[in-house]
Amino acid sequence: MTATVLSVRNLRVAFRHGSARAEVVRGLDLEVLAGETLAVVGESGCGKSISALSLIGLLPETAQIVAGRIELLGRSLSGLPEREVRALRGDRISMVFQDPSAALNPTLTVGDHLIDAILAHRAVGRAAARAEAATLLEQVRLPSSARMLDEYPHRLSGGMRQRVMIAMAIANQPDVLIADEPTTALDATVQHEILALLRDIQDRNRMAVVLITHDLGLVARWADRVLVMYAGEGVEARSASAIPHSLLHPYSRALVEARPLRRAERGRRQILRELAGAPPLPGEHGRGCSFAPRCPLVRERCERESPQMLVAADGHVACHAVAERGINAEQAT
Amino acid sequence: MISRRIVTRNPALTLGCLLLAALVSVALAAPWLYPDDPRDMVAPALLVVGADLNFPLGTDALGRDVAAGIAYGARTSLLLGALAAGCATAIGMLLGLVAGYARGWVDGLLMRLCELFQTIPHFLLALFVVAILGATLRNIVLAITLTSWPSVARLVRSQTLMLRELDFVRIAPAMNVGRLRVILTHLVPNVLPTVVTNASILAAVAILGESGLSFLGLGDPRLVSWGGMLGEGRDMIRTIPSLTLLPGAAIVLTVLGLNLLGDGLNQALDPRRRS
Repeated sequence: MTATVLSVRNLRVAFRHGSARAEVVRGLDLEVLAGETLAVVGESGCGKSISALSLIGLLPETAQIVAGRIELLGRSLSGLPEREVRALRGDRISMVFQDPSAALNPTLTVGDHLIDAILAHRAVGRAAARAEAATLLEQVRLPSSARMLDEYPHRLSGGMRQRVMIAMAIANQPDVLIADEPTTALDATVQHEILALLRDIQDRNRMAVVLITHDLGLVARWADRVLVMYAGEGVEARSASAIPHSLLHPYSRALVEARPLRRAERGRRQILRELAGAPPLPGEHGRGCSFAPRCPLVRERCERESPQMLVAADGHVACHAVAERGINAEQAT
Repeated sequence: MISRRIVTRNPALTLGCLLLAALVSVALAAPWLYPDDPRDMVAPALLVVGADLNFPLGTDALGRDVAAGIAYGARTSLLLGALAAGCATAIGMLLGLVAGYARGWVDGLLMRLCELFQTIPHFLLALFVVAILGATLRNIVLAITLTSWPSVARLVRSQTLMLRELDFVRIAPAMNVGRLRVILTHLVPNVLPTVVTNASILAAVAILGESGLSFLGLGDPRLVSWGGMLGEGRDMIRTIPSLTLLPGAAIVLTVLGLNLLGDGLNQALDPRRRS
């Protein structure tokens, strides 16, 4: 059995503005196994990025974790002193960001960035760190020459900058890498190369990847498991092979249908189906299921009671309709 | 960091350096060129330029050598410019970084302090300080520093506020980078081009400020300064214009040199503008 490297239980994150408080992550559970890729999908504002930032301790000043337990390699982060949590960040867990052009300091060279990432966690000499920086460049398939180490970020292409970011993130061979839309700022071919690179590093280092994205096609191709988030909650946690046709939660299905179809798939449904309505605003959640107002399968119970994550197929789904249908199916057989 | 290739590709920097190098060498060579006190009366008064080759730039109303005055004035002006710009930049940069990075009440307190100094007319504040503490070079540097640090602090604060929102500063805690290191490796190098450029302009402003004080008779009486010469030559501006034109030209060249240097440094220190 594969070990769990990261586990999150009942995570709640809230933004504060004066006395007002808005919960944007409302009881998120997730589990990441060593070496696997967990994709977290959902529309903008569903809390996926904020969840990721809270895992690595980068929440903006106005946001804070109000409840929940985060365990990294079996150690709870909430119980540890700040100094030890900081030592874990960038070492056992690290992150790759969406916009590689903003994530690199324009006054530092590629080498400086990598050497700093190495020296932040290990007491090695500068020369040794530089030698290691060169091998990191090799790992992300950039030329490992002295010239590359002395380049400034503004002279690199977007794809090269993202490779440098990845090299920084894997400098200390972390157990978990969080990739927040790592390819959104890149064009399609570069996107493919970067993901292939991540997969390759992942296999070599047995590193787990939490891939945050809204691109279901990407998830089907690259992830092992998928967690669909809606309005700050996980609604469906499944094997990625369930995409596109075996997803159960009505929101997950709506996400799939909102994806443009390729020509061969046309005819089965219209090219793009949009989902009417909008998710509830943070802080304005009712008592029942937050998807109920937009749900095609809505029933009376959904308005009263928020559904729990229940075992369904090869994962978990939080939906009364799916649960009932599951029971009915069992009764029928 | 600044290679020969960059200097040749950066004419502003080259020209600014040459101008200032010339002025610095005149300042350094002054005691050797003119071993006597430049305030000594050495020749008949009001010799025009070229009238006596021993005094190529002529003499003033008291028979003092104008060439010696310009040379010694360079010492005063450059020393004062460097000291005042250095002090104001150091104080302003420190307080600006602290205010912009800490924000909250620290920021509020420091910015109110800035405003306190900025609301008083600069020249009036300088006059006040020098009039009370006495006209010495040290007090003139102090007066000019007091009037110019707030602009540096505000500049650095605004840059810091902008930088701290950029990803590479925001994610630093996730890379186990401490606050001091964030300031030293991420903030300082990124505000430095602006601050250095600003410092060269501050030096120019300081030189002009000292000239103003000397013109009003509040310069250090033990030192010859261009502003003082300008003030004394003013009465003769219609008969012997060289008495005002020469120290004036010296001020203009110095300020020009400093501005070119600042512009050139801005280009040389910013990796994005180097290539």
